[in-house]
Amino acid sequence: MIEVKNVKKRYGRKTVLNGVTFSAKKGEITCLIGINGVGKTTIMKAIMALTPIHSGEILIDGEKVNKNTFNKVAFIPDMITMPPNMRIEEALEFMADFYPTWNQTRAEEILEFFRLNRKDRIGDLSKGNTAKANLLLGLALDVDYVLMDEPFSGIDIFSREEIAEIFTSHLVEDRGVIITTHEINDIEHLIDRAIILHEGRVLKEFDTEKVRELEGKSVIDVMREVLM
Amino acid sequence: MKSYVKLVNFEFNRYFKIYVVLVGITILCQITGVIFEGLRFVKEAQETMQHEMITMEQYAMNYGPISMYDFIETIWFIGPVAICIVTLLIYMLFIWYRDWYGKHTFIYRLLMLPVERLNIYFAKVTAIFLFVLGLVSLQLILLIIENNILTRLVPEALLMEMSITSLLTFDILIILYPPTFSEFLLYYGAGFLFILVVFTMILLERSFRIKGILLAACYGGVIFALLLAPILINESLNDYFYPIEILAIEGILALMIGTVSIMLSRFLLNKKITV
Amino acid sequence: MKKYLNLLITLLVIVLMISTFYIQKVIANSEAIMLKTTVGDEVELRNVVIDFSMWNRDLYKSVRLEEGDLYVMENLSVLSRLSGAEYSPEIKNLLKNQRSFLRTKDLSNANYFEDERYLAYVGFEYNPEVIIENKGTPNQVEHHYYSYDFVIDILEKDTNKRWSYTVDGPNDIDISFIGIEDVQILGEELKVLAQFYTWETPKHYQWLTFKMANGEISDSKLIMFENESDEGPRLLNDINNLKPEQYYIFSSGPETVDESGNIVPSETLYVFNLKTEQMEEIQIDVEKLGYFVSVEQSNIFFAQREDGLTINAYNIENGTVETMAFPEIKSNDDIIFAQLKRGKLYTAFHDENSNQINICIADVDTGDLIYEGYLKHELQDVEMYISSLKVF
Repeated sequence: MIEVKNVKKRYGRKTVLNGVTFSAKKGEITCLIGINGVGKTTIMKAIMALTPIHSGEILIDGEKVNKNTFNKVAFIPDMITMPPNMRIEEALEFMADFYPTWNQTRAEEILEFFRLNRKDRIGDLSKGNTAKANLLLGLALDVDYVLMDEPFSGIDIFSREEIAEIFTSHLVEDRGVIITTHEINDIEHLIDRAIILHEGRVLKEFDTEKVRELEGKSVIDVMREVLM
Repeated sequence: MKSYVKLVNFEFNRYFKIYVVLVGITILCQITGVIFEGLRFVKEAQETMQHEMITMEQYAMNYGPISMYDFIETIWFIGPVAICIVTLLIYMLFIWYRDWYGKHTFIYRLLMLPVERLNIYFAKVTAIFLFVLGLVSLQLILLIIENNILTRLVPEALLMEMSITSLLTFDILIILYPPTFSEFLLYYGAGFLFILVVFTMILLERSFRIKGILLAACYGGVIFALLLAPILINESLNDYFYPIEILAIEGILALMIGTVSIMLSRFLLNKKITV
Repeated sequence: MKKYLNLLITLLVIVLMISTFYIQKVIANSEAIMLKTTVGDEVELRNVVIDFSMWNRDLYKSVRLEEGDLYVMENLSVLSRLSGAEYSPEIKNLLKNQRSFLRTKDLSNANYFEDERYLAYVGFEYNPEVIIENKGTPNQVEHHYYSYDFVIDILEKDTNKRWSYTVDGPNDIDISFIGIEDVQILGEELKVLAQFYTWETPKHYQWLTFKMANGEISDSKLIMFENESDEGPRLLNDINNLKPEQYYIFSSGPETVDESGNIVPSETLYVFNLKTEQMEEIQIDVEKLGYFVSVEQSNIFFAQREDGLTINAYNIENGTVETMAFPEIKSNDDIIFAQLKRGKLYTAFHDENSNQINICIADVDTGDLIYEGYLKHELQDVEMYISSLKVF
């Protein structure tokens, strides 16, 4: 379980996170929802210790972030994290070299699924293929948790479908996934839990299935309710 | 340790292409230079000898023979050395900043590797240091080759032969190739400390951005003052301390500064760094 | 492994080049010069320090033979250089035994005196002075010069009693420089022989007396003027000696130096008796005595090169000459360095033919050789030159 407890973060005088608390469980897809600049990406960076927090605590399976965290959690940012002059195959080699949790079979599988050319240079990839390559790097790791930051933003419709397909496959099953988006439509049917962020706070945290069944509301309905 | 070696290799290979270009420029420029300068000298000498009807020995007597020292003063030699030095100095900044900028922010990946983050710092320090030593070694080989070429090009009577050892007592060469091994350790140790400090300053900037620039400037300033202090204090004390004692004090200070820089960098990388 | 190829090759080149460079340096230096003993045992050299230099067109090396070991100053490590390996043997010894006394002081032999009881130092502080002529007028001229303060420090070694003073010294625009030639302690007084270099008046030697109790200058005698021919006076005593002296010997030109560099002194020598503070003139027979070698206590030593080496000891007190013959010491036409200590004659001279430095130690009573050896190098076109021979 990833636990984010009362996390506060400022950029200069601007408070970005003002006591954010939530948790994400293994086997569930948790979605952080909020308008741009609400601090979704910052939360993910904070979980990976890529940006300092001013107070609060983040625990992964009860442990504070350390180097082994990166064998447990993979973060897929909204841009690719490999040098542009690297070929895809070199990037895979790099990952295999450093991550004990790298799963080459799975990498091959995803490579094939996305129809990526292993000889292509990362800098030359189209937007959609860049996003796919980025997912490939994150998902081929045998980790318990995957954090995805806006995996669908700026991507053509066909690539979106392919990416969405991944979520229902064995590649994501059983893992804990935290995903951020500002366009909930694409993935509404995929997510188990939704966390609505506003002005640095968690406005509402709910089980999408339950809300749909008991209250007959979609995620967007709930959003409209709390944000308007 | 294993991941450190992997990271060093990775950092090394990332720059290797530019490095090979640097090496190529140096070799090309210096070898062309020594041939050009050698031939030019011989041609001019022959013209003068014909014109003034003098022998080679007389020419050498009147106008002076050519030596490797004349060559190492030309742009052929100094140019590539300067390019290498400047490139490496710039690369000291570039080795960090290029991971932050552009669409492909590799620093995410580096910081998310399941290794101690300090290894990244050390790998970058090591890579830079290896590049420096590599060029220093290359220059040594080149000097031997150039000396050989000059000896072949210029008639014995017009040449002042020079051993590499005595050539290396000139100008910047004595800094690059200190006369004793202990001085080598001392000079290059100081260079190593310099890289550690600069990298810590970069990490300060990367952690605190604008405020970080101020902090980095302070850090650098304090270290500079700290290293200068024993010398200034000793001067005001009428040279109370013997040179060896000053060296010991500076050595202890350097060790402390090195340790603090490493510890601070470790802290920054683990707790304060922002991508 | 292929991945690591670039790194490995670079590493290999670095290690190979840098280690070969320094190893080759060490080998070249160790082979370049050596000491060979032909008679006796190297143990005889334990009190001997010989400084010499070697050079050709593109190298210059200062080498020291000390306790039988050779040190090339240029090859000394930074550590030994900074810890004072380049200083004279006397200063090195003081640095070892009187380290705190020497702090802040000039580390030059002439400034020190040492006997069984005292260690004394005299140095200078320079103060910039200015005299302004025609002040406030368009013709204003500033004359800059230095005034001197004496810095005196005396240590009684057994009791650790210290006398430290800074005493006002000369403040005279005519003085361009003052050099301390020798420091002595006589009774309760500190004496300094100083050479005054001047602009207008002739340069001269001054004999200064300081009271140990309060540092006050109780006497200042001008003992020797430079003569007009500008060829002297010249102090013949070894100013690098820290030991007590009885006499200062001045040769007052015209003194000649023969082609190999040996000094043939003037026929007239001036002898200054430190105890009585009287200057006396003596006449010597240069033809008979030979080259000047050294002054020791009441003896002036001269050398001649006939049938080996002959040392003539001229006794200042009674004018007698004692002749010591060393037929086994063969010297050619080069400067003779010689010292007499504890009944032994130590000599060093450069042999032009074999381009080596010969070292001989002989028994003064019998004239027999106790030790003979030579310093030789295998470098081409390299000249050797002895700068000093010291025996402790």
